[in-house]
Amino acid sequence: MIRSLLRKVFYAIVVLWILSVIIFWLSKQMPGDEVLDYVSIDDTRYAALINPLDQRTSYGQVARERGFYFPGFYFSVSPSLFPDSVDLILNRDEKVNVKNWITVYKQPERVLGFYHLLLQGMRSSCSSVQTGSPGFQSCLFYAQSLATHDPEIIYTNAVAVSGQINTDSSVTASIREDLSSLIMMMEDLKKNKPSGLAISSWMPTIRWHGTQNQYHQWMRGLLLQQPLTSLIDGRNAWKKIYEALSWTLLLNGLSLLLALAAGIRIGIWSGKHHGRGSEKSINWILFALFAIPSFWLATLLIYFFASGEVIKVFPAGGIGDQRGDAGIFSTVGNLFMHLFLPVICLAAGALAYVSRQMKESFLHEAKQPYALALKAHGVSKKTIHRFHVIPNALFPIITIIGGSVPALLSGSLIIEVIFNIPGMGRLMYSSLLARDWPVAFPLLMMAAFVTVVSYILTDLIYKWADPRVKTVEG
Amino acid sequence: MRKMKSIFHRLPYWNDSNAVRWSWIFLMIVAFFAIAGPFVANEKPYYIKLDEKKYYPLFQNISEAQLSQLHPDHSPVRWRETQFQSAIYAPIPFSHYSIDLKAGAHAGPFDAQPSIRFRHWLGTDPLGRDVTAGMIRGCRVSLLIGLGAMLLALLIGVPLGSIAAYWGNKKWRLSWLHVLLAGILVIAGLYTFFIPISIGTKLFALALIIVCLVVLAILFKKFKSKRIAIPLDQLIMGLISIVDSFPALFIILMLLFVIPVKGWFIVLLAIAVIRWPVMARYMRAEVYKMKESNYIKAAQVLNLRDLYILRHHIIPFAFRPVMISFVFGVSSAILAESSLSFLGIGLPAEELNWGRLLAQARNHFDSWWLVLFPGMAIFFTLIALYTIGNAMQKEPSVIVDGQKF
Amino acid sequence: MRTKGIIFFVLVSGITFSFLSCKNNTTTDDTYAVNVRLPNEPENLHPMLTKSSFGIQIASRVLLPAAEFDPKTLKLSPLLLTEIPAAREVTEGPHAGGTVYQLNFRPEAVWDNGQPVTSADYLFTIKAAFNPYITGSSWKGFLAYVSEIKTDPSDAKKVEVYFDSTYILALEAITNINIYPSHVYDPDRILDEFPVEQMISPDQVWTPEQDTLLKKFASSFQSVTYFRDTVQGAGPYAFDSWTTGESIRLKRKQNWWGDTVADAPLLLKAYPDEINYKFIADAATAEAALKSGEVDILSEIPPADFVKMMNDDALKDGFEFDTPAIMQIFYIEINHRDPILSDKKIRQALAYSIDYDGIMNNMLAGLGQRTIGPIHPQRGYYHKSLQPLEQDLNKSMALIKEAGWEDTNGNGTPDKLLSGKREELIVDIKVSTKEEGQSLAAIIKDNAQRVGITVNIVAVDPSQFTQDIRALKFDMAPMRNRPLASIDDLYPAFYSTSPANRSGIQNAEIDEVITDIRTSESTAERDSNYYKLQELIYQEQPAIYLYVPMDRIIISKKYKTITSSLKPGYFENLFELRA
Repeated sequence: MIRSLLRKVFYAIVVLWILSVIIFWLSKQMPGDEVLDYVSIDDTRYAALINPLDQRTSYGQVARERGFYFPGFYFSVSPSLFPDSVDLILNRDEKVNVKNWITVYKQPERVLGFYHLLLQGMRSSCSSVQTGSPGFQSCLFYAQSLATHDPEIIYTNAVAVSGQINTDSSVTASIREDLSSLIMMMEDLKKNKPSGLAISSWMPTIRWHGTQNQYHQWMRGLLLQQPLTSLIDGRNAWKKIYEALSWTLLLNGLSLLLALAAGIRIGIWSGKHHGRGSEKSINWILFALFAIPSFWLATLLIYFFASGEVIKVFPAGGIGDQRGDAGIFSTVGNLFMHLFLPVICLAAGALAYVSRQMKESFLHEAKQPYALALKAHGVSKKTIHRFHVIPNALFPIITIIGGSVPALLSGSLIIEVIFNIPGMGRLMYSSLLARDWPVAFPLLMMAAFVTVVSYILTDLIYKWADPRVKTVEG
Repeated sequence: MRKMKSIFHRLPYWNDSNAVRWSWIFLMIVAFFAIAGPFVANEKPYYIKLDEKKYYPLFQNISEAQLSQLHPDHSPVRWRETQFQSAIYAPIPFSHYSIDLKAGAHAGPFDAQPSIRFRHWLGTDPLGRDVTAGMIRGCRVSLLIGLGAMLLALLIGVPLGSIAAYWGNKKWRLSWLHVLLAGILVIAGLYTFFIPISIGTKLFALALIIVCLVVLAILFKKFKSKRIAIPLDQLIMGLISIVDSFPALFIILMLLFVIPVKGWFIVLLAIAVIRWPVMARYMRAEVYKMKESNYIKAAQVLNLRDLYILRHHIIPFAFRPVMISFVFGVSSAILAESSLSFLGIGLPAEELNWGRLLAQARNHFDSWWLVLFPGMAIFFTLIALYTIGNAMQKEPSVIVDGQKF
Repeated sequence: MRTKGIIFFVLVSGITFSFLSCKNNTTTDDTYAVNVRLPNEPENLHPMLTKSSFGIQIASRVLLPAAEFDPKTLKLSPLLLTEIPAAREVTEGPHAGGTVYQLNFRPEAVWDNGQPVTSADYLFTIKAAFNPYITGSSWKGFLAYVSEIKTDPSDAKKVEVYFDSTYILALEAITNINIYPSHVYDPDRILDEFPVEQMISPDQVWTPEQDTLLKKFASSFQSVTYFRDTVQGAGPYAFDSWTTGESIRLKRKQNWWGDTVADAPLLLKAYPDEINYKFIADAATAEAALKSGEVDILSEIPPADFVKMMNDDALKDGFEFDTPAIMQIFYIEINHRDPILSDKKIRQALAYSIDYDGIMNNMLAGLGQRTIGPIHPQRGYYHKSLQPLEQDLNKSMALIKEAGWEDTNGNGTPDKLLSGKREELIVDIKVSTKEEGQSLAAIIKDNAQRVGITVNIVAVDPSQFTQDIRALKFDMAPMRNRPLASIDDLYPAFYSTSPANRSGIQNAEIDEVITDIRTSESTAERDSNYYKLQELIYQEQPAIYLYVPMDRIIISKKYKTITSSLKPGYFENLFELRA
């Protein structure tokens, strides 16, 4: 027993670890530049910055502060053609561009030199000139070049800009020199382009980065519950999550309770009256409830009870005024009115499912030999049902509860969106939409953690409740 | 007529009950609209005659702009406004994307509308798009994504599930040679991944490597010293538990946000990713049970090849329960698709389908037709699928060795 | 039976509670609360740092700006100042040739602790905005032209602000800013150590000790405490509470200094005793909330709903409907760097293909006005004799043909040789996943397809949208421009070498006129330059100008109040309870 539990825990940890790597990897695959998302928080000046050099400095500073300077993972694999330093380029687009230049010119070290020349040119031309002056053009040229994928375009632009600058007397000589040396270097690169590359230069090499990497920092922050700030509103991510969690727990907990309480009763009732006309019609209603999409049910309920098109009894959404000074009565009443429709929506599908399971389980148990034996002993039907059949028939409910714990915590996105309830589902949705990873990552990991734990617990409880069940050790 | 009848009778569980029959008929209608949709609802006429010239715009794929070029006197040609000498329109003369701002946003089915021929029978949405055309488009999208996603899930889940159960953790043994070869090929695969060639070439190279692997595996079959057991079951179950330990909608959201392309295929893929473990688990359980039965043991004693046993003696019998989960899976895939469309994720923005139509009702509750029709369509499709699935569940299963499967 | 009982009990008690709660809400004494619906929650209430217009709206009730645009006259009216300063020319001293503004703070103006609002607080605000670690975003940009700020040791209520060069928005920049109480936002008095001339100087180099101090101040100034816990100022309202995701509540101060001011400007008045801002994202929910009396004011209602509600007899008695014009211009930004769209004829063809009437009648339900360019039709210098474009498919197709696009390969889309490559007439339109932009894009796609231009809709999430637009990764994109209340400065968006020139328009004539406008001496000269500019833009069609919307505001008739074309269109502090 203990051994199998330990093994399960071990597997769960492995699975969670793999998951965290997958999520991390996916988060890095999101289109768009992650650093820019942080820049808009850490340095709102950025939007108003005009000089590309200032923008670059601000970008670099934020990236450094936020730990984007580190490599992504413990190790990286890339063709040996690309020197180490390419991986250290902060800007993702720029990194891709430099790699492309290397593949075009097939001279890694010299292309890097060319890249540094671009950076240096940018530094000297952007720092000295006034915005809008003619010299600013060369500054803009450098900034654009760094964002250009195709080196040929850089070359044509460089030639064009140098033509314009040469006629302008306001541009200092050093800027002109920088540009002409850049053009010379590009011509040189083109001239010396080797026709082919040794096949070995494409061989992947593995580089070890140690614990100084983004994933490691991220996981550490998560495990130690370090304060994370949301990108949307600068609030503590944990606080946001726990707030959302409390709403989701309330909403889903209530609906689960309702579904269980009503579902078990209905299930037992229909088990007892199996085959009768009234049972069949109830069956049909439950079937329809099961099949009705929750978002349609929600829309219908709002249409009939909240929109004012038919009658207006309930508020159409939100959680009501949640201030403490309103008195216990009005607070509870308010909550009741606001949560009534969403709870009904969530409970409807679950109710049908629970009652069906319950009915089947009841019928199954009622047919068991022990029930027949009791009947043969003359025990009344009521006693058999109440003290023997129903307790045994309740076992599958454990699985249902266990299976619904993840949903209890992750919330129902669609119901929360429709009824405007700030729960976990909506938080997840909005933070993914805004690429708010400091919130999304812990949220996802928490959902995974709870799911895994609830599976283990369900298993344990089931075994404890019904010792006949043995783990299949495969 | 009789032929029709016989086709219907061949549908699974047709004779089970009236409910199943109605379900099949409903699904047939949906399928019909899914296949013939573009010919039922299309803004392009079947046939027009202009300046004594005949055109078949729907079949020739002629656009309004092209016709305007050809007939400058009639320019601009508008399908529904130009006076053609004669024209035959599709039954619903609107495409799901045609915006009819003249008829107006939120035109109700019973409202007065400008013309009878171009009436919006089920009303319009806020942009004046025809709800009927949107519903017909919805049939196509829902069935395509529902069936497609589940087929994909089936293709992944069934082999993996059977493999996991049949070979278990200890049965699949490899010789050192195999492992070595496989290792070399994996490195070769990595290598192709890093060479800057087009994706097509990469895929080709990858396919080549896989073929090599298979060929080598067959060639070296005679090599007997099999020592290393590959824990297939554990590997596959691990994969399944990774997908399982995540709320399904979160996975779909992640995938849809990460992949920059939009389109039905991405949605299909995302749904398949969360559904295959279900299939695999069902299949695993079935094969597991069957593996222990005497007739399989007999086959093994006869020294039949493992693949042969799987292919001819296990999968065909284990398949039926999997089909039940397939039917339920299709319904949940359709539900997932319409939920996503309802939230406005996944499918392209201008796509009009059931979920999208229903979502538009959210801000316009007076347009009851936007609440009613698409909701009914989703609801009845789900009911039909559940009914068929239930009928399948009720049917007594195949009996082998006196045991029910 | 037991379960039934429980369910029954819960139902009954729930309904009783809710009735009780309804009773609790109706108060009979003469204090009253105004409930305002906001579609989004602001991220903070820090006027200098918030990026949400609602954040500024709410925060400005607490932290009054020195001067604000008057809802009626649309001119700056003094709030913390005694009057709007006039520009004086400087004839001597280091700023000779420049201008100076003298600001005098009202003698009545005091903070919550009774201390007067003084020049020190003004300086503190400016210094905070210039702190290199504070991200004063727009403020710093506006204030960058300030050359010197002088205070008078003998008069703590007096400040002089010097400008060396002429700057079109000088007055707005120095007066239309919310003044922070230094004793609240800088309890450690860190910024007192820093002279203002050093702070505003762009070349200032700080010693490491100073640097740490600046950083320390910045991190406290930008902390969550000041974002949503401590919000204090000289305004009529005090911040009371913030329920995340639900509401923000302000309460009127008991003895507010503004009550003692003789003939106070409109915005210094404050009638409601309490203002509740409720966040209701969903339009349908908001509508229901209005009908049930949960909120008293609704703005930015979807046009179609607004018209429907306007015709609803049940609502006519209880609510007032208002449609002030708002300072917003909707247009389709076009990227001139795209080889297809750099052609003026194609831009015009696109502009002529659009069904403007359909857009006006359907998306706006008639609640808007067409515009010919980036100047709002409400402006005095709007060029009235230029007619907005109308849909003309024939003209559009002719323009495409003229531009050399023809379907040579018979695939249904016109094509043309562009720098040696055969290109099809296909452009992308980038939209964020918001309903309005998507509808617009769908209409444009449909319209353009009728003249042979294929438009692909690329929908990305909002944050990606902003990034892509900034990185110029777009062909076309629906955008909205919010001009300033006072005057238009078209330099950023239209000047060839301006970094904020998103469309990438390069036109020497336009550049020249923009420079002329900036340096115009008289109003007449400036207006004639504006006319010239609008004509040029009309010819060049750098973007497709669609419309200016009217705001859709519904206010409960319980209150007497005014609406205005200034954002947000209504003024919650001016809600007077009708007798």
